[in-house]
Amino acid sequence: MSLVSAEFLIFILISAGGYYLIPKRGQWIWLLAFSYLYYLSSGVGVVFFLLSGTLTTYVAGCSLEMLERSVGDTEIEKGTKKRKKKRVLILTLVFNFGILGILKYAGFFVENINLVFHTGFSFQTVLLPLGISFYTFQSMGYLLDVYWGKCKAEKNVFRFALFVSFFPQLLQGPIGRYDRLVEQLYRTHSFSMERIGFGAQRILWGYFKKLVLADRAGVVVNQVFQNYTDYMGITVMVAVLCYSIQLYADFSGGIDVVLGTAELFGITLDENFKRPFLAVSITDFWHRWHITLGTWMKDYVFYPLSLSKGMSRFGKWSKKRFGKKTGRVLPICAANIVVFLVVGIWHGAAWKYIVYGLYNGVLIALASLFAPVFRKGFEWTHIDPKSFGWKIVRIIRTFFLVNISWYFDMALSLSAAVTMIKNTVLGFRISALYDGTLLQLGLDRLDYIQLLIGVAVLFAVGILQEKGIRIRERISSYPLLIRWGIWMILLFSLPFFGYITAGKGGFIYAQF
Amino acid sequence: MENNIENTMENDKNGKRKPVKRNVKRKKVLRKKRTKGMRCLISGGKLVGGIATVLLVLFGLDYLLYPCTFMRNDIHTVTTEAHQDIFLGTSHGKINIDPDVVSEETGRSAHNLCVGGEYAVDAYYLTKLMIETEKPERIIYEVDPGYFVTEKEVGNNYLLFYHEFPLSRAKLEYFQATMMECDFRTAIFPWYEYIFKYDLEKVWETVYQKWMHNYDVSFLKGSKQEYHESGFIERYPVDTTQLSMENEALKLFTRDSVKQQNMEYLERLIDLCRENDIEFVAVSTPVPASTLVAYEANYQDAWNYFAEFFEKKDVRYLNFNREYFADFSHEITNFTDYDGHMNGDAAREYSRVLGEVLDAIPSME
Repeated sequence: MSLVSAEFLIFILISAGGYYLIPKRGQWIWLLAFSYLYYLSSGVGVVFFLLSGTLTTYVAGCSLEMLERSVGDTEIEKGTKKRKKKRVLILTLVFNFGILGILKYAGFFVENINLVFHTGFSFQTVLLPLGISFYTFQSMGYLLDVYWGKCKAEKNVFRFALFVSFFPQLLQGPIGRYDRLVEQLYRTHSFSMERIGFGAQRILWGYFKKLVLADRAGVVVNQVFQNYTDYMGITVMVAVLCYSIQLYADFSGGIDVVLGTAELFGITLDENFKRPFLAVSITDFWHRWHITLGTWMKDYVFYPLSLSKGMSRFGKWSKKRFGKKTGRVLPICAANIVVFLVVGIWHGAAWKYIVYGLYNGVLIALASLFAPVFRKGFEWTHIDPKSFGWKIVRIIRTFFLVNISWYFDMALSLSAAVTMIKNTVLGFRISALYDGTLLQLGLDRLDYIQLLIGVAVLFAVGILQEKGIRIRERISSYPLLIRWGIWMILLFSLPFFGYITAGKGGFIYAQF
Repeated sequence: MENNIENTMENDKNGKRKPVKRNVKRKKVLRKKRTKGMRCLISGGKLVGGIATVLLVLFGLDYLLYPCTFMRNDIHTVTTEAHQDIFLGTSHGKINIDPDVVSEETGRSAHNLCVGGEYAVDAYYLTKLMIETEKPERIIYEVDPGYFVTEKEVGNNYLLFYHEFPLSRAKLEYFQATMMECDFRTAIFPWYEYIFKYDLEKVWETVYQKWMHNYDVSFLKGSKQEYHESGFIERYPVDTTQLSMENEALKLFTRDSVKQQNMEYLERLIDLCRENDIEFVAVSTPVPASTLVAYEANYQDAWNYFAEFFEKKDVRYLNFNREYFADFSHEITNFTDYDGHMNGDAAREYSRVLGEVLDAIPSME
């Protein structure tokens, strides 16, 4: 069930309507039923994966807590308990990540084995169950939290099932955290006109991003990236810029719809974007882009890795070898590279994604390593690193670096990405901007104007939010006619300025 | 006085929350007067008012911007007038079959409800609608093999029919089966694909036709073709020496690429007719001989496939490219393209032949 389909709107209308009409103590059960109904709409078979993930994690969580409570104060007993807990944890992690790995990466693995060893293994690729990457990460995060004693295990299997399957976030995140969601999901919610209004407005804003911007920019992206050998220089650059617009408007638009839908039920999910194109560094970018994946990686990969015995040994070795300062930074750099390698792999089973992840990891590592050099550079050049001008330079620089990464993210393959980068530099011809080349990419003049106006609106809203202004709250303080006028304009921008795509459409991150 | 001062948080000019002291004596009095029920009523009223405004604007825009298509005339005719024969199918049926000429041969009233983009799913729900309103005695279904190896594009292709369906159970079922999956704009803003295609003059024309309940066919006359009240679209002859087969986007049939959903709906359509005592006849209209030769393997595969299918379903299948090939000339001069759309004169001649065949062969029912 696509988030832009009529059936999705009808689905949320019925589910939200019923949610406030039924007795309050049954609200979370109602949500669970609708979450599974939503999932069932994509096929009965895929529910098996959701159920197996839910049940194994639930049982493992309860087992971990039982082991923790089990009597035994001696060192030997404590050691046994620890070992048992570790065994439960590893078994569940292997099972759940194993399913994800087999479904998502086995084909890629077999393909590369065949390539290297000239073998002829084959793997029947199966359709990836809806949202499997998201709910697997969410439930494994919960399990690790229970293991580390950060939260208590959920005793009610149905309640836990709701945490894993809460339908708005099932398709494309955000990756929720148990401690922040648990209380909201199970407590009762009274009907609030204000909250319903805010939710609807957030959904509307998401649709604006998706239908007016992402779908329109996507036309140029598909044309150039699918036929990359035909395009050079500025045309490729425009396509990459369009991909920036498409990916951000598509993903964050989808998240707006998800967050707005959750708000209709009185549930506030974690924000996933915070004006990423105003980031001043790649590290800052990843604090603003797909935030819930970033924090998941930080909490469950980066910290455990940085604090591991191996990394500690590596730290000691590097201090000896490169001195105190560099030696202290090196383990963090290594952990960052590993984290972004995982981020790359999470994005898909292809070498281009691995390079995409490594590119980001290496940039962040280099920034940490060369931080002292940059500081000295500021001293020599008398540039104030806190000045507004330098901030603008940093934003542009980061935007440029991020756009290079899109080549790997969107290109058909790694070799296609390299060819496109080469073509961008070699075939640079400024006249392509005005000689009509851009009008042969599937969009006409009016489309480009609409795209630019849409980006300007998005940018203006971003600046206001960056200044701490809460747009919806501000609009709600305006007189009735003005605030209705604003929302009506946004609503009717969808049919008047929304791009019409052939087929059913869909969100990019809904296929993860 | 001090009791009436309330410390409250309000937005300042910049939208920042600031503590404000204000005299709330009047406010308190008002609040006391407004009971919980009243407050609910006020917010409920606001909600209903808001929704009503949006609906009103949506209805108004639909009235202004959704054009009057020939499907509006067709559906209006078949749901308000009784016909014995109804032709369903694709653009080949629409352009090649003149029901008035067929009627002259059969002596039965007829209407052409074919249209380009009409898949089996649409034909099925159109038949359901007719059963609800004016049930025909016979459905003559024009089979274009290309429509069984392609998937129907979601969106406007459904709207062409859905928008004109009168409020009925069939409309609801059609919505559930097709429109639900579409982009929500298709359902909420049905006019959204037309807004930049129509000039102001057309808008007034649209409003006039809708307001006056006018179904005058003169509005639907184009430079290349003419719509008739019987649902037949007459194409004007073209210079066939200028035609090229390479320019045709033919949907070629192969048995392996048959979309099962299309076949399922065709089966359901046949069963629906049978359940409702409606005779069902299948027809494939003539295709230019040169096209049949150029893509012989595809066409032979298609004719075999459908012959087997209809035999299994115990349905009469009149194939004018095989069994009835000799009954009508397949020369390109009869057509306006290599896909098989005839010019008006040829269509009338073909319709006469079709009428004779329909009249001559007794029903299988």
